[in-house]
Amino acid sequence: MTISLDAGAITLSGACGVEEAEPLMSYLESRPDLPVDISAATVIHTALWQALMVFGPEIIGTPISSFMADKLLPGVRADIATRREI
Amino acid sequence: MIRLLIVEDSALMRKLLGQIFSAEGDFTVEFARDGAEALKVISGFQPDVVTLDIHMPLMDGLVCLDRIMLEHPCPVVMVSSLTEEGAEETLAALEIGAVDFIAKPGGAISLSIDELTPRLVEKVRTAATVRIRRSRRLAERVRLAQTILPQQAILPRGRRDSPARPIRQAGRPGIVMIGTSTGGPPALDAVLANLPSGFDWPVVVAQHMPASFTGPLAKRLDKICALTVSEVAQQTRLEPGNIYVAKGDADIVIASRAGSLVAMAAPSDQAYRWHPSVDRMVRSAMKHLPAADLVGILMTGMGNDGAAAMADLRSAGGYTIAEAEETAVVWGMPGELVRLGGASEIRRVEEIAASLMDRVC
Amino acid sequence: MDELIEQFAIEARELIQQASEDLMALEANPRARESLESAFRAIHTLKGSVGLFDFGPMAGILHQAEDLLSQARAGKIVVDAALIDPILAIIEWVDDSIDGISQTGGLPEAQEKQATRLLGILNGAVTARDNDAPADAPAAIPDWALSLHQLMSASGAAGQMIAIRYEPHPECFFSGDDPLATISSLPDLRHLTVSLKEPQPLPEKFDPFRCGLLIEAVSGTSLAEAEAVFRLIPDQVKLFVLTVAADKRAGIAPEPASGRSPERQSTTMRVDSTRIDKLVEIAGELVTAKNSLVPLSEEARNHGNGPLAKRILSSHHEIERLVASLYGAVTQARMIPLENTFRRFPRLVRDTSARIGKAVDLVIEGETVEADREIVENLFEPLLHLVRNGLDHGLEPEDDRLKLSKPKRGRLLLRARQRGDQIEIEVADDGRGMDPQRVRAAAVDRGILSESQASTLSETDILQLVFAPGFSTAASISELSGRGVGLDAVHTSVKRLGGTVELQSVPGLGTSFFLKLPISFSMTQLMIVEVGGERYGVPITAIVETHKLPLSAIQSVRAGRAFVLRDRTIPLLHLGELLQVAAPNSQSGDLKVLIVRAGQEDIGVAVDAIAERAETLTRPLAGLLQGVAGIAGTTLLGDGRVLLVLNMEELL
Repeated sequence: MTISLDAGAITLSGACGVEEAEPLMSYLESRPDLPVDISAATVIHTALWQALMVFGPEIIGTPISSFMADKLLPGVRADIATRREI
Repeated sequence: MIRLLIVEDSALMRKLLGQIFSAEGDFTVEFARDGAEALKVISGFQPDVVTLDIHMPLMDGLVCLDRIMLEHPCPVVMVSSLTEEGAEETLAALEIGAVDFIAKPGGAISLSIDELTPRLVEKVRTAATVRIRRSRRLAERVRLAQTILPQQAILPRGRRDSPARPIRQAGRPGIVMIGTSTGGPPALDAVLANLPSGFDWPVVVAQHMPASFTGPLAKRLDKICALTVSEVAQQTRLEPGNIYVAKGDADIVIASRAGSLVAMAAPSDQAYRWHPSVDRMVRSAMKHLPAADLVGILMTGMGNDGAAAMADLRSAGGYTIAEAEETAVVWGMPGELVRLGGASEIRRVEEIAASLMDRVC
Repeated sequence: MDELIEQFAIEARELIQQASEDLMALEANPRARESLESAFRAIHTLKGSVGLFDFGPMAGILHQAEDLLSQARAGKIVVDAALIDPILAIIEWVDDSIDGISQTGGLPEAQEKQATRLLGILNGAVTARDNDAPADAPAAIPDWALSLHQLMSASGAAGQMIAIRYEPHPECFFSGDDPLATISSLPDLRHLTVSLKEPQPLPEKFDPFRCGLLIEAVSGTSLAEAEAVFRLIPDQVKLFVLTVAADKRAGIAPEPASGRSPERQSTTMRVDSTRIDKLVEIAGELVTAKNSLVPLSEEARNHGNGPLAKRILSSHHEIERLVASLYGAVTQARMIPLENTFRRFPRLVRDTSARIGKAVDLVIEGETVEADREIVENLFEPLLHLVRNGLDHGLEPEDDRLKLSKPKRGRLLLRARQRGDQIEIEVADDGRGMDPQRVRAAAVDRGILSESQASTLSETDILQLVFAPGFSTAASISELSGRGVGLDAVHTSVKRLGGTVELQSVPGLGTSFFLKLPISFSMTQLMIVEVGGERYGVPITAIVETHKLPLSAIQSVRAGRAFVLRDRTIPLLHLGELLQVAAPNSQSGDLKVLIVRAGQEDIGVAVDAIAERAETLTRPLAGLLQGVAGIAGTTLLGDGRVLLVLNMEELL
């Protein structure tokens, strides 16, 4: 199970492929109160990033991949924050 | 030995297909360069199966197919291109009586031939075992009957409730899911054209096909059905009175969004062998709907896609119909459902629509 | 496949003939409907056949030609010279390509290069009909690139960069695209913005499998590299070369770089091989440099800072992974097909066989197998040796062959195969073969081994003696064995490349040599030791264990010294003596000993000190050091020093 609903967070772990976009979306829709923990995810498909941007949950944890941690995540977090303010 | 006649105008394709089937060891292969030659060869050679190029000079593939079905009925597998034009012609061929079709190999064949060969051979092998019945022209006969007696199909039928049927909570809309593969298009004609416009459950169809084929399939079905038929290329709300055809080479996923039911095309998941995957469709619906609100129908097709999920659907309280062996072109998928004990009832293809209406209306 | 190509060539020529006849008839009479139909069918079938193979742009070009004819059929465009000429040019090009295709199985490079020109002609045929054909307006700096430029120049960056605007197709996930993964493969990513095209999508309307993203990025890489990253999706990506000056007043170099500009489409480029070597070197050094993180983490732990130690270790793992993939990528860049060496043989064999009067068919297989450039280039000499030997000594004269009822023409096979991370090259002839008994006798005669030793060897092992130095010095041997000159030279050069050579032979049927070589030079785990103030690398695979030995444990045994380890007597040698660099360390204290396996027995090798372990890239020796026994190669250390890597087996 690469996407799971743990106590207090929606957790992505391992390689999360495009097919996980729909289950992720279901969780995001049904539990808008929960943050998404991506610290255990090694690969996150674009479709999942897009779902995160659309639903705008709090994203917690630092991914292992430096691309995700340094290049992608800060921008995505900022984008979510700005759109929340509007 | 399987006697195979390859009808191809391109010497290169003859060579390629010849090599592939000769390498199998149990095929006796003959060749014909065009339709006229094919008709001559067929009477003497008596093939178990024919592969027929849809584009040929002199006598076109479709004309040739029609003549074969009339004069020497035998299983025919069409060889067609993946273009939209090719899709139209292929669907016409399936209606005339071709058992199945294969896409012309393309691209870097040196790289893809190993991948391609098993499916090609499997399709032709399966086709060779098919008994060609008079009922091959079933779809046309059904449609003919419909035009003669237009009212009949819409008349409510007497309920034939049996204790085996779980009682569904009235007033809540459910979903009908249909899975088919080889021989599917004519079977879909036969079932869907018989559903009245008042049919109040959305119907979702997963027919194994390439991407460029499902659009034309939906268009063809729309012309002959009282219900509106469309292809699901993106997220679509499921409404009563509609039939949704899953996009080819992709999967279809059913979900509940903001209180309404939706279907969406999803990139094909390699965990499943055939696409659109019937198993994935049924399992996604089961996540969002009570089993009692779901009806699964598994019709003609090679392999076993959908059988496991529909068997689970039945044991969870859903209702399933398997096409009977007598009418299925290939009794693979429905046969597997029956073997798994997952079929609530087994019906000949022409009875399925009525059975469905007993259940839903 | 070959048979199919042959069939393709035949059919293609017929179709080309048909199409050109039809087109010329059409030129004479533009209303000749049958000619138009027939030309269309010929091109259509030709396109289908081409589509079966991978002939690069040919299928696409024919598809466009077919498209034009199909429009003409539908009456949408007029049949005139503007239609016929381009299509004739295409056909001519296909015709010219067929010879090359039937020889190599692929579209020759020279022909492929013309593809863009032909597409241009074809598009001309199309655009000439569009009244509003876009003029080649000077490329204005697009707004999107301008804002990226401002961003970069504000951040103080300078130099040439590539601005990227990537708008993935809504259905790109269905083609297996993962746009952000594609972006992550861009080298030197300086900036990345991902945004939703529709800023406030309604979550309940959102389709998770449709892509509605816009990606903007800046990379410090070259335009060619960036184009290579996006080569499969040029329609979804805009690239623009930014010249960002440190001085903000400087503008943007008006260098347009539309992804469609024809000369930029090629995704291959020529690179001076020394540049790649430099990269390999740096990659090798990086490997060493990252090793220093492990002691650092240990130090942190010793200072009681466990969390820091952990973090250092985890960045060590990350760097290790990255270095490994960098190393893999760079090694990949050094790979060239064996064809580079193999293609020299057909002429060589033809010339030699004409000279010595033996008719020979040379069969070459597997020339597309790739290996490291250094290996491929250094293979020529040994292969030449083997091929010449086969020609001179292996193959019988025609008359003899006929008497033996063999085919008149001899056959030489040069075949490469990939086996895991090795390549195997076979050089085989169908000549007279070698008689193990005669090889045995000759070896004994030459004093290579004693009669009793010789009698214990199997026939296969006996045959391998031809590689022994000194075996083939006598001219007579080449007569009696059918093989001869300098096979030990072959053995040596193959070994230097990290490979092995073996031979199989059946008297009367022929001889096959099998060369097994690594595909590329690999990472070696080394233990670094010190002797006489110098450091050397010893492959860890050669070391059984290391040991500290008190001087008192050493016993003198006849001329040498030995010590007892777990009830076994182990001879002791000193590395300094072996290398003739230093006398045994006479100072008191414990002796550091490497236990090394040599043949069946373990030998202790004393060193002054055992330093760290390192993972490095060992390169074969070149130049002066090439002939030195006991040295496997060299590797560069992080500080730029060269470390000699020892071959223990050879030293002992």
